[in-house]
Amino acid sequence: MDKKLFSEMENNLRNIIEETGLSDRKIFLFGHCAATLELTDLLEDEGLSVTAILDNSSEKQGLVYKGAEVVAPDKIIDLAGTDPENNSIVLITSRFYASMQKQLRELGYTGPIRKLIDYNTYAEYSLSEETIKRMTAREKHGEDLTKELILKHGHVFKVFCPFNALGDIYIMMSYWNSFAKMREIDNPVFCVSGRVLADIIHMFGDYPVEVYEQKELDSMIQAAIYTQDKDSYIAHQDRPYVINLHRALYIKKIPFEQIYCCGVFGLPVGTVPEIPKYGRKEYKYLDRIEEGKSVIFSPYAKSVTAIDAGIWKDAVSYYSGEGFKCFTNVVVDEAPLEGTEALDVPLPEMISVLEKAGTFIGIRSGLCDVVRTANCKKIALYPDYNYCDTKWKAIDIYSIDGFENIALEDGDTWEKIRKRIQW
Amino acid sequence: MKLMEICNTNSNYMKYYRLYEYTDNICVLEDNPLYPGLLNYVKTGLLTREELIDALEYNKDVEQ
Repeated sequence: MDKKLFSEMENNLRNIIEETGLSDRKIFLFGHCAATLELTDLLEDEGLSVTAILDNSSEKQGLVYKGAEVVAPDKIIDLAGTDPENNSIVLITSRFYASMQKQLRELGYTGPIRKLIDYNTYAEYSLSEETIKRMTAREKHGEDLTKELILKHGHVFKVFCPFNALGDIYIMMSYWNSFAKMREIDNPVFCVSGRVLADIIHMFGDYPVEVYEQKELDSMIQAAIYTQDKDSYIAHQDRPYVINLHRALYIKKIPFEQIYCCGVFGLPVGTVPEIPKYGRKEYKYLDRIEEGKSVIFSPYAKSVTAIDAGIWKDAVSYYSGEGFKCFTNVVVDEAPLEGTEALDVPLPEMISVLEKAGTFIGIRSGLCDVVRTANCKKIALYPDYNYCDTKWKAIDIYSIDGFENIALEDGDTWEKIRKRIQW
Repeated sequence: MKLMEICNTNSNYMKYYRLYEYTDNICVLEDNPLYPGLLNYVKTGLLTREELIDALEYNKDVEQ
């Protein structure tokens, strides 16, 4: 989870504790995802424990995290006991807050339900006058921001990238040119919610990019939908709510690249993705890397369940013992793995680092997409989780050509993982 | 709300659908140049028409 959202979650939790005195309530979380697990950790730091994690996925039910079992949402009626208004609470960190709230009320749960992060400004399950008025103001604000954009750039085609994720942007850009040719778009401006996403876009070309706060970008996207602005395109696979591509995954496995190629852009199967023109800039401290005898570890991913620290520790120990110099790819204040040096490399320079190092081992994150064309040994590790609310495992959807793609299993150690590497 | 009212693109339900997500009970199947949609999968051969209908009808809250 990025820092801003984490801070929002901390502040909201603090307010809820002050307001309701959580220690006297059974705490339920809804949705077994990375953010929920982070919230469990945060609650633990406050001396609070979670009674259960509610999740509709039968694949996830039965999992346990820090003593909290994942159970079907209808179990809350029994688990909350009598007087749920005063003895229980449901905390939600998911962008599906509105539908989760609705489901709980339909089940008959009458206790408080609180949103910890405002992930999804598009949804509010109400047609009350007050809601419509607020949403209308939000849409008008989006129109104003769009007018400002046009004043600055003139008559341009707006490409909205609604979500701050490296992998989505990289894959989107690798098919952008084919789409632009098909639609005869020659004047795009990309609208994103993070500066690092602009770096990814610039790896593919000298395109104009505007960076917005997430809520501002959401309002512009909503304005485009409301006004049916034909000089815009929302280039994403599952956001906002009008995009329904994810439904195909309930019945069919579609790899991530095909989701973008065929689903997002409507391009024929087999369309060749573009390789970034400016993705091989040289890292200025390349002399730190021992050629062919270095390993770059990438253990952090903001939206993926973390991999057991023991696996990373043993991997570092193994490579150090083999005479390799070990580095951890970090961003800002992330801590390097013990026994490694921290390496904070701009994304367009990352491939130069990997190619000199010779080996890359990372949790499957967007960074793996960015370095997919690096000519070196590459391992992507996949924690055991399902892709969104589908029956597919992360590795089914995110597997990358040119990588050793390794799904982690219960009780895995570095030794066991190493034996599955096919080099 | 009634299906016909939603299908009518001039209805308030459709107007509000474009203003914000006011329910998850609606899944609009449209070929809109402004954003991607499931029909792209049919056009590119990744889904058959039957699979498209299955995808639309799938209820994730019910064990299939």
